[in-house]
Amino acid sequence: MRLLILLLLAGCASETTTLYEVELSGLVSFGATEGAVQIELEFAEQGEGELAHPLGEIERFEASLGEPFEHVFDYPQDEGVGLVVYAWHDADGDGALCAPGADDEPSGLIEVVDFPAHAVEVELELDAFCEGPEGLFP
Amino acid sequence: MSRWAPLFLLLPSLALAGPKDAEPTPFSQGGDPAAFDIPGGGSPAGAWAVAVSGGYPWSSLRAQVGIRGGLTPVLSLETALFRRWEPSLGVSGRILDRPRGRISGELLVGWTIEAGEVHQNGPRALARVRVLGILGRVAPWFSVATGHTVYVDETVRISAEGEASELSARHEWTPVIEAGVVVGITKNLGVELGFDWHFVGAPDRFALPGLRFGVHFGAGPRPAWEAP
Repeated sequence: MRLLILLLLAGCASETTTLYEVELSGLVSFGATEGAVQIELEFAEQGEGELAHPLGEIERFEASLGEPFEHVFDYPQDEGVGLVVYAWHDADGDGALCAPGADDEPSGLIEVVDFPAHAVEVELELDAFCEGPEGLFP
Repeated sequence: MSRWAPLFLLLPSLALAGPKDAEPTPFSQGGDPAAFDIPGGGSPAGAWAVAVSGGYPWSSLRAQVGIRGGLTPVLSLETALFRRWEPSLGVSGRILDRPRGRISGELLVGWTIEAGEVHQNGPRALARVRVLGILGRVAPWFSVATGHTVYVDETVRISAEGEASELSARHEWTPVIEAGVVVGITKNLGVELGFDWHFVGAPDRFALPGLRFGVHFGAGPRPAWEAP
């Protein structure tokens, strides 16, 4: 019954969300350092007209420095364009990028050029310190 | 003046809405004005009434025709700043009818169409209870309503294997509190000043109350009030 009602109303869908499934794989490294790395997936640009701005978070997850990772996520196609991968190493494990007295946490960013694609591979060497994504892009 | 003032006007009026053989008010000796029919829960058989009101943020158009049997078909169109539209059809009827007060109920079904920043639309149903006091040619009223809209959303998932679509339903609750005072100028014409508070998307979203001014008019057979 519920399905029938939904089908009857299908022609009048209020919101249509298009999710593009992406299998992201790659490697984030910082010399020979090991430990957890925080990875954030961002749009390259979000918004329209005067409200357009660079970046816009899609989601974040954790991986290990120097170890290959694989992550599947849904890219909301209607909410922005492009794909940027940003990563930072939480050296002191406080959950925050740098702090007074902790200015040695590395970060880095890469824009995926061949996007959209269902399979994306990135290699990212962290080459900045205490920089958020907005400090590295565009 | 407190926003609850219409209630205080209403309660003593209802207290006077006494026994069935109570005398009609002078203005109602030839039947209540048509302006009382819309907040009063229905028109006499064969009579019609229309109310047009404009305000911020809600404006509305409502028309009804009385039929035999005590129920009144209602056509209603409400809009918030011409961005959210709520056309609906339904029936209204008097639950309690006294010379100095009426309690009525109505059921409406229709559609919610929202344009602007948020595009959404879906079927809607609303149940309302109104209390009307009659003080001569002045009729303060108060109503509470519960409105429900179901929106259907579509999620399209594009994977390497292909494209799949999924539908899901979302419910929006809109309690509504309204109050006003209708003044019958003639048997066929009246004016109204009221406030309305549509809590669209309650309890997750907050809403501000609005004000409106309306003109009510109608015609048709208007028998003198008789004890039911």
